[in-house]
Amino acid sequence: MEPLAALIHVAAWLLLTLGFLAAVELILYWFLYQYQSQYFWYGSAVLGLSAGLIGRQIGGPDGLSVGVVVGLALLFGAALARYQVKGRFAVPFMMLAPAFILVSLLVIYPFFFEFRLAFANLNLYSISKWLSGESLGWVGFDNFVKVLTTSPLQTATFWDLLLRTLLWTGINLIFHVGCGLGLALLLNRPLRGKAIYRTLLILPWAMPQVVAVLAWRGEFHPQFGFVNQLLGLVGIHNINWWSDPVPVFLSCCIVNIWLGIPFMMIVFLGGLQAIPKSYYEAASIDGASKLTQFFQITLPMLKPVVVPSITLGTIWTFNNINVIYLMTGQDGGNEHADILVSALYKSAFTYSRYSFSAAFAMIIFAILIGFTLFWMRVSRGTEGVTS
Amino acid sequence: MTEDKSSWRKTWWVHLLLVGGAMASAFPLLRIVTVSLRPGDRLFSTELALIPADATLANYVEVFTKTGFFSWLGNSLIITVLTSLIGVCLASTAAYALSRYRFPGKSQVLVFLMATQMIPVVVLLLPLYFMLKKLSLIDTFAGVVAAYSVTTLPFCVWLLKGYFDTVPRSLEEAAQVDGLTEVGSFWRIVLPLSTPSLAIAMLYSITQAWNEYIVARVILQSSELYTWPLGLFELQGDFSARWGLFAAASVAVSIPVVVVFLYSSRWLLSGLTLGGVKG
Repeated sequence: MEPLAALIHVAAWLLLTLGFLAAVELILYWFLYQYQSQYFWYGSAVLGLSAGLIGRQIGGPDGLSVGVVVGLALLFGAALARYQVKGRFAVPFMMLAPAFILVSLLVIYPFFFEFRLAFANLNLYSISKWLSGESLGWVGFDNFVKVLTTSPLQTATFWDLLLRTLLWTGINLIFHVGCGLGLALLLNRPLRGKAIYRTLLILPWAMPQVVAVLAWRGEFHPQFGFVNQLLGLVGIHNINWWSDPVPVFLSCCIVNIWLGIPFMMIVFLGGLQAIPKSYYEAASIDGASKLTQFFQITLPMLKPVVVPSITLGTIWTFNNINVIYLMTGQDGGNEHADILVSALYKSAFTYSRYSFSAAFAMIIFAILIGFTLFWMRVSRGTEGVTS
Repeated sequence: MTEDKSSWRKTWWVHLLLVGGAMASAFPLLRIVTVSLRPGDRLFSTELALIPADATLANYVEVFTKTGFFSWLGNSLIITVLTSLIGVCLASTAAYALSRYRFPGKSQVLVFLMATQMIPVVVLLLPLYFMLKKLSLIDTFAGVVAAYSVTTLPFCVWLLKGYFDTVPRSLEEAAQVDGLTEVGSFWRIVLPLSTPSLAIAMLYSITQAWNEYIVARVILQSSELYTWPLGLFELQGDFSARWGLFAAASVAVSIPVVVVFLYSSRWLLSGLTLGGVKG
C-alpha cells in the first residue's frame, strides 16, 4: 500500500470510529436523558431494530444471530434505563463510554476469541478454510496437553521455558534493584559533578530500546564486537555469544540488566530524597552507625517506593519479549534464550501454530494471574506488619 | 556542605564507582557513533578507539539518500501522533468520570483497566491479529494505532485520574454555583489546570508508539509502511553489508529521542509515581 493511500485509509477509519462513538453517545443520551419521554419505547424499538439490521449486515456468516443479540441487548438497555437507572449517573457514563468501549473491544473480545481458539485446531493448514468461512470446530483440551508435553519451539519444552523465565526474572530483578539502589545511594550524597553522572547513567533508559538492543547484538559478535575484544585483552578467547547456549542467555541478561538499572536508580533516588535529613541527624546524635542508619531508617522509609517498583519490574521483566527477540533475532534462529512470552510469539508467528499458541497464551495468563494474587497477598501482609 | 563536596580524599571511591558505572552505561552507545563514522571498507575493524582516525560521514549520506530512512520516520510520526491524540482525548474524559463521580461498577472498571496493563501484549497479539485480519486492517496504519491503543489508553486513564484526584473540588463547586455546567467545569477548569499531566500522558503515549517494534512487525508487512524500528532491523539483519548504515541511522534516530527524554525525564517520572503509586 502506498503511504498516501495509507493516510487516506487512516482518515477513513478515524471517521468511522468517531461515527461509532457518536452513535454510542447518542444512544446513551436517549437512554439517560429521554427515558421519561412518551415516545421512549417507540424510539427504542426503532433503535433496536436498526442496530440489529446493521449487525446483521456486517456480522458476516453469523449475521442474523449478531443482529438479534445486538437488538435484544439494546431493548434490555432501554428497559434498564427507564425503570432502574432513571437518568442517574448520566454525565459519568457518557464521559466514560468512549474509552471503555474501545478498550473493551480491543481487549475483551480478543481475549474471549483466544479462549475459543485454544479449544479449536487452527494451524497453517486449516487457516485458509477458516478465513473462507468454515467453522472452527472443537478438539477439547488437546492443545493444553500438547503445550505441557511437547515443545512450543523445536526442542525446548514448556518446563525448560518456565524455569528459564524464572531464572531470567530473578537474575534481572536482583541486579536491577541491587545496582539501582547502590547507584542511588552514591548519587544521594553531596558530590561534585552529580548532574553529569546522573545524565550519563540515565542514558540506557533514554535510548530507544530497539536501537540499544540491536547495537548490543552487534557488539556481541564473536569476532568484531567489543565484548570479545575486551575479553581478549584479559586472555579469554572464543566465546561464541551468538550460538552457544549459556553465552546466548547470558548476553540477553547482560543487555537487559544494562537497560533496566537506570529506571530503578531514578525511582530509588526520588525515594531517598524524600527522606527527611533530620532523621539521620537525630540517629547520629544517638550514636547510630551508618550501617544501622541504613537498615533502620533508609530501608524502611524506602519501602513504599521499593514494593511497587519491584512489582512493576517483575511484570516488565517477565513480559520482556523485545530484548530476547531482538538479541536472538532473526525468526526462529536460536532458542537458547527464549522465555515464555518470546516462545509464545515464535510459536504463533514463526511456526504458525495458532490454536496451540492460544492455549499456551492461556497458560501464561494463568501464571501471571497466580503471581499477581500471590504478590498482592504477600505485599499487603507485610504492610500490615509494619504499619 | 561545600567542604564535603570539595574533599576528594573522602569521596574518591564514590567517584571511582560512579565513573565505572557511567562508562559501562555510555560506552556501548559511544560505540555506535564510532561505527557510524568508519569508512565503508573498514566495518570489520577490531580497533577500540572511539573516534576512528579516518572518520567520515559517508554512512550518514548513504542512509539519508539511499534507504527509506525518511519514509520510516514519516510513518512512525503518523502512527505516533494518532495514537497519542486518541489516547489523551478519550482518556481525559474517562479519567474525569472516574475521578469525580460515584457510580455502580466504578471500582470494577478501575480494576479492569489495571488488569489490561498486566496482560502482556503478546498474549493478545494473535487474536488481535485475526480480528484485524477479518476487518482487513492488517498492513495498515489504522491497525497499528488500534493495537497500540490497547496499552496506552488504559495507562493514560490511570495517570490522569491520579492527577485529577489532586485538583481541589472546591473550584468546580464554586464555578457550578456561578452557573457552569458539569461538562463545562471539566472543560474550562479541570483540563486547563491539568496541562502538566496531559503533557505527561501525551509524552508517555508518544514514547510507547515511537519506539514499539514487536506489534508493528506483525501488523505491517509491506516495506513502504515500515516504521523506523522495522527499517532499522532490516538494516541490521544482514550484518555483513550494512552495519555502518545501521549505526548511522541509529544515531540519527536516537539523538532527538535522547534529548527530549533527558529534558523531560523529571516530569515523566513524577507522573509515573503519581499514577502508579498514589492511584
